[in-house]
Amino acid sequence: MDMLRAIDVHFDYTYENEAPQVVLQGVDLAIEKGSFVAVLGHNGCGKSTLAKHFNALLLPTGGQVLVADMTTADEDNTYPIRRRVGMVLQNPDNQLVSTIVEEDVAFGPENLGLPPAEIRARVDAALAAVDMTAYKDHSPHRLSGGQKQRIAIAGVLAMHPDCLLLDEPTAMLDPQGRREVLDTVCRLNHEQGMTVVLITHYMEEAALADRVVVMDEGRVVLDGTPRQVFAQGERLTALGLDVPQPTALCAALRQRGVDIPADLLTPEECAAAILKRLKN
Amino acid sequence: MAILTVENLTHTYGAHSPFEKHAVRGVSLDIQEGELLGIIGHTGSGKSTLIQHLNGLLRPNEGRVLLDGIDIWENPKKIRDVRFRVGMVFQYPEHQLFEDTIYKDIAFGPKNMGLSEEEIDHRVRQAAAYVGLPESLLDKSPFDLSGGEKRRAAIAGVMAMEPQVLILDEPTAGLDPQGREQILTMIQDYRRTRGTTVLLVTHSMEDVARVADRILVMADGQVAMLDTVEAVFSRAEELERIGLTVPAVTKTLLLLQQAGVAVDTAAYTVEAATAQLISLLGGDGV
Repeated sequence: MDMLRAIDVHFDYTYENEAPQVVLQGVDLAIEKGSFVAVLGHNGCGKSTLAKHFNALLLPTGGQVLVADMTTADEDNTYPIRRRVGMVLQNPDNQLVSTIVEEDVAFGPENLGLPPAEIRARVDAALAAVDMTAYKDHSPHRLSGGQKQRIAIAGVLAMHPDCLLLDEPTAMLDPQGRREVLDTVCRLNHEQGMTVVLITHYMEEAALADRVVVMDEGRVVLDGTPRQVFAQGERLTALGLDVPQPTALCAALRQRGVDIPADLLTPEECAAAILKRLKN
Repeated sequence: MAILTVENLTHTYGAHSPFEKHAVRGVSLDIQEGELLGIIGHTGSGKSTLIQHLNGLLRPNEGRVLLDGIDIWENPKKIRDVRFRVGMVFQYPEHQLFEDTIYKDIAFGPKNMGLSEEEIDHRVRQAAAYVGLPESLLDKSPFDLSGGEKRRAAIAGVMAMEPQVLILDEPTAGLDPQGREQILTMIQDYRRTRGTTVLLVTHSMEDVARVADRILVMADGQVAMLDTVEAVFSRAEELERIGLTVPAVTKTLLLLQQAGVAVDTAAYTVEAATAQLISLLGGDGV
């Protein structure tokens, strides 16, 4: 079943007395329930704009967006859609509203008007899911970036969504914080079957997904498994993107006549392939 | 010659309180005139505390910082001059743009130095050129610029003071690969043209590997390593123990070495690693 669907979606920003700025020009994309999809593309390619369509923050100027078969165009669907698709943004400081961690996580469920016992249960479960239970009485502003971002994720989880939409959640974090957030996201996907859409500039992060979608100029230009996508090094470079270093290394070796697979992503795979070649 | 010398520097936050933290402990090092020094270390390693001492934003609890051989705190009233000579670009500098045009923002530093109108104008245009901002953007409001342009404008504001030492704290954070590339190239060009000493604080091993002459690795408030890029990356296992990730290429070579293959793990670029492996694997019909 498709969790999210974009059907020929067009979108432009129109300001008074100015020519419309076209951002999306015909995006067709179906994201299956339970999948982990990474979206890549350089700044201005339209990936954040697309993400905002998936929880009805923006409505398409052409085409249709469906969330669990509900169209975003119908205003009655807006709240049900937002309860199913939770969004996490780049800057953790912009998303935390309370002075105590558990109160922050409770903010969403409180607004749903749930009974206190249910709120308590959801907050505890959400904090446990991001491994931040020990910090429930802490003040968010004293936490590290990675911890803050995990609290932001917990706040979304407490709404019991079916889908997490993360827009460059690790861009402002240090390597350790990045790992914490990524581990959390992967765990939610594997263990709870949460549908995850991860917008990122980091190729190593995209390599963790089941599927990588590359956007350029408001369209989907590449779509496949990480291996299929990263094997197209030249294409990615032309689109202003990097290739994971091990993949680039294999490509360089192939170019020089070494018979080595083109679709290796990690240092471990790359080293293993080289060892195999050396033994032959 | 050393332009900056740090002697036995110690800094403690919240001394004599329950939150007491020794951010930097007994750090000594020399920064050579004209070099590009990369500074890495994970969050809490003391790198930000260290750089804030270099232009007198923090005063050492113990130890000294010498600029051109003179203790920067010798005359505390003159500390402002030190800040003109050691320019600091903070993380997310675009958040600090405050004037109504880019021109005025870049001119803010030189103006505070008491320079003449012509000199200020010259410096603003030159700094804008260094960071690749077209003149047409100078009269625009910071709100009209893209994120990358804003960041470059903020960096130009510090460059316009023509500091002897330029310190950049995570200048590529949050940018896409193209934006990162632009900023790094710009820093290299600027340094080549002006011969300025540059300190680059970053989490990105790949970035530092590409542009730095030497790398300072901070861990737990102390200097863990200070050496050439090759020498630092040849200690990949130690870096991993400190919790720093080496470039993926270095990691690949490290794995090969651990499997008994004779490779030099100091290689940190795809090109260098390819060159090494080609001779082993016999590509190119070797």
